[in-house]
Amino acid sequence: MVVAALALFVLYPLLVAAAAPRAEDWLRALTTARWRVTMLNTLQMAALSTISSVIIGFLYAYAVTRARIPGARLFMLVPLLPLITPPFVSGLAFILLFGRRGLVTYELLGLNTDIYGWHGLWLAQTVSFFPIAFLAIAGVLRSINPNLERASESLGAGRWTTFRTVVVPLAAPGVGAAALLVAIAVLGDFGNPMLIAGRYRVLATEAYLQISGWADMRMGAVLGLALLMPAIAFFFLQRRLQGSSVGRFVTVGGRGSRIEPAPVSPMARWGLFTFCLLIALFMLAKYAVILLGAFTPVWGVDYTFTLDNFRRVVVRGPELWNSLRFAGSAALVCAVLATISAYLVYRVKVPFGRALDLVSLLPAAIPGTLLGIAYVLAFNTPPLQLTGTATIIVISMVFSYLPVGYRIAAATLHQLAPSIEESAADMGASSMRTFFDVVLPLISTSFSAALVYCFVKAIGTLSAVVFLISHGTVVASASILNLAEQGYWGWAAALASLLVGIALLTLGVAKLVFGRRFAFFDI
Amino acid sequence: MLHTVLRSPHPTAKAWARYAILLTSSILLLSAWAAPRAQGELLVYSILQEQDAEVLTRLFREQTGIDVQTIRASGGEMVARVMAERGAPRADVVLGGASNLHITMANEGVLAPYVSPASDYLEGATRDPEGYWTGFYLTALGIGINEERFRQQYGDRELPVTWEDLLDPAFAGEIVMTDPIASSTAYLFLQTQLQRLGWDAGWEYLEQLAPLVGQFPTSGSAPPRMVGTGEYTLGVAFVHSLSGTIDQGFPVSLVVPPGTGGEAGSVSIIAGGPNPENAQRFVDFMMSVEAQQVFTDQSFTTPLHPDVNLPSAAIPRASIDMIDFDAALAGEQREETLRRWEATLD
Repeated sequence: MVVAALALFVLYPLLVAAAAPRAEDWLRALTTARWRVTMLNTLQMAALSTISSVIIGFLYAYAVTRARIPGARLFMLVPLLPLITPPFVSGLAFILLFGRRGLVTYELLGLNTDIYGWHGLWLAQTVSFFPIAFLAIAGVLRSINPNLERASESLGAGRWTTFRTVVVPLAAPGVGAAALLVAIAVLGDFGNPMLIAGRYRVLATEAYLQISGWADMRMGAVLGLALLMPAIAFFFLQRRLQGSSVGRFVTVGGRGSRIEPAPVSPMARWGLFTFCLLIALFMLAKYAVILLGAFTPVWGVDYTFTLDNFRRVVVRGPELWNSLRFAGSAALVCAVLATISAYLVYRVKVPFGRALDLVSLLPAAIPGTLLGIAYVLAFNTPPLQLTGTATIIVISMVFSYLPVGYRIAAATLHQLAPSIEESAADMGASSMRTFFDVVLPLISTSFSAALVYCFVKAIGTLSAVVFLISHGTVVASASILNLAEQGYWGWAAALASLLVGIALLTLGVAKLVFGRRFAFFDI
Repeated sequence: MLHTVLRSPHPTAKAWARYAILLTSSILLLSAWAAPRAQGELLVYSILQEQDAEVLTRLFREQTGIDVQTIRASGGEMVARVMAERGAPRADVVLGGASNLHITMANEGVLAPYVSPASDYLEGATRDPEGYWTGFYLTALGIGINEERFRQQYGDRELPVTWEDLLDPAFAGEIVMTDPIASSTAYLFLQTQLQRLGWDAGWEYLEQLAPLVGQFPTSGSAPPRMVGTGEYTLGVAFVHSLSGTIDQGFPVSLVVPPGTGGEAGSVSIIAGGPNPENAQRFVDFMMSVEAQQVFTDQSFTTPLHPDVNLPSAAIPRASIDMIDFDAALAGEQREETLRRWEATLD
């Protein structure tokens, strides 16, 4: 059943999308100056944002895992915020902070700057996606045995030499893998380019314009597929660098030796502390300005306090309610599928396990834009006519975040020794009974974690959903984009604040109920 | 976790808490879907600004008891959507947008004709004789200027008053207009220049202007707002939209250049929509003096019904110098014009 669902809602739409364009559409895409520029821009933006994200992510991760800076535990929490809040919040926040009438640039410094363009997009993407690099690199750094550094130093190498010849080479593959994860995320992002890129065009927004402005599904598919190709290449490269995900979780959670890492020099330590402090403050300013914007009547003109924005967005329509019920339903289905899938791969060890593992993780490499286009193409005609329904939005959320749930479920299952099940079986329990009495209680926490993460991710998702919304199925993220684009910053900020608040509240409640067993997994 | 609660003789408080949360959220989720969803009795695709459409749908609901649901998008996006849904239309009515958009849709065969008995007072180019679209307000293009920003940037220089005045290279990066592919406002602007100056001279004008524009948002209400907040100095937008911005207290001056383009903002019925009878009632409603009065008071557009009182912020029709705009030509040339515009930008 899981396999059928994956085939129907992941592979089939992609094949339909791949078959939709004709040869002349491809030729047109390659020979039109507009799209050549767009493709180059997309790659350039992915490269720039990846480099800056990895540099910041590495320094930040090194500071909190190795340099033992003061408040490391607090600093670790800050980059988790962007992972659970929609990426386009960055774009919105930077317009309010550093825009042409931004709080910092104009009100405080009196500058006449312009945030719209590639530089604004670069900033927004770096801040949105460096946490991905941070989490992955922090995991890698933690898995490096501090004994190796101690050994290097006792052999007479200085701190810098040790860093250069021991830490960097050991971390390099993991850093490479982290870079590819960031690149995939930047390639597929739709909200930030839409908000802040000005006249700078990237494939995700251009594909949207082809469909929304021209109703040209075939060209939309071409541009979406052009995004898929580098993303898929990065995805497989990333798997290679990291080893197959089946073997990967052995290092996660294994803390290795208890020996504290060698201390870094005070200067480096305080330098890194300042760096982390600046980054963390910057990130918090991003959320503070959204909240401020939510209580401001007209940004840049009238800064008196108002509650009107909240009143407007709540009475305005059902979009927030839609977001809640769609994301809730999607999270439920997603967590069930992810758990079953992980159970099949890691426990039952079905013959096609590796293929199932691959297909369960594959949606992570599919840019949301393409997934949205592919769904419109594949489910627009009978027998599976789903466009315009709430069902298709829920389904798109389920499969967009299946990899998130799957990774969490897989990590938990992998850490359980199979001997528990074997002893149950030895004592005469049927396999059904073993599953319900032994396995189910054990995986319930991972199931809940998958549920919570899928929910907080799904509630802010935009890239695919924007193609699928219709009468009565408008979701909050799409509304935020629409309002921000019309210049209604206050309403957009109020709605965004509510989304962020719901995500934080959900995580907070989960943490409170499940306590320490509920860990922040890499998502 | 349910398991833990049911099996263990002394369930812990935490286990109960987990169980309670699980139960509550499942009930909430189920009720979310079970909640009686309003049966859409009229589905409207709106090109109007959010609040402008809201006053109309609210009044219609009050008068008829029909439940109205609205989706908003910019003009070009809406045309694309209606065409994409050809065969299985999901909405009944397209509300707002210049008549050339409705002509484009009518030419594509996605509209149903309906001559409203209430539309007798409409004259000339404000309605389609066959009833494929019906006008309910007049709209023309103007230039919005943020005077504060203009003075900061250009000192005592005189404000631009003609379309040609926009071509000064000193304005580079200070002009905002919408993307003609997505927005009906900007497409009307392209056609205004092409019809005013003639095809070739019009393109020369547009080629000179394009590099000066700071950005092309998709929604027609973005430029007035961006000029209002002082993000940009100059914005091309509908006169009524700029009047609204001024009425809200933004420091914006409105210039209506001589030889501007304007059209009848229209309503049309989508062929094969789910509620054809209610769609006709809605068109009748749009012809009423009540509907046009609330719409004018909210949007500052010029009404077509002779008995509507013009709010003071609105610009009377007589004070606008308009070219003899050919909406049918604009509708026919849409694809050709937009393709060339795309190429102009690179």
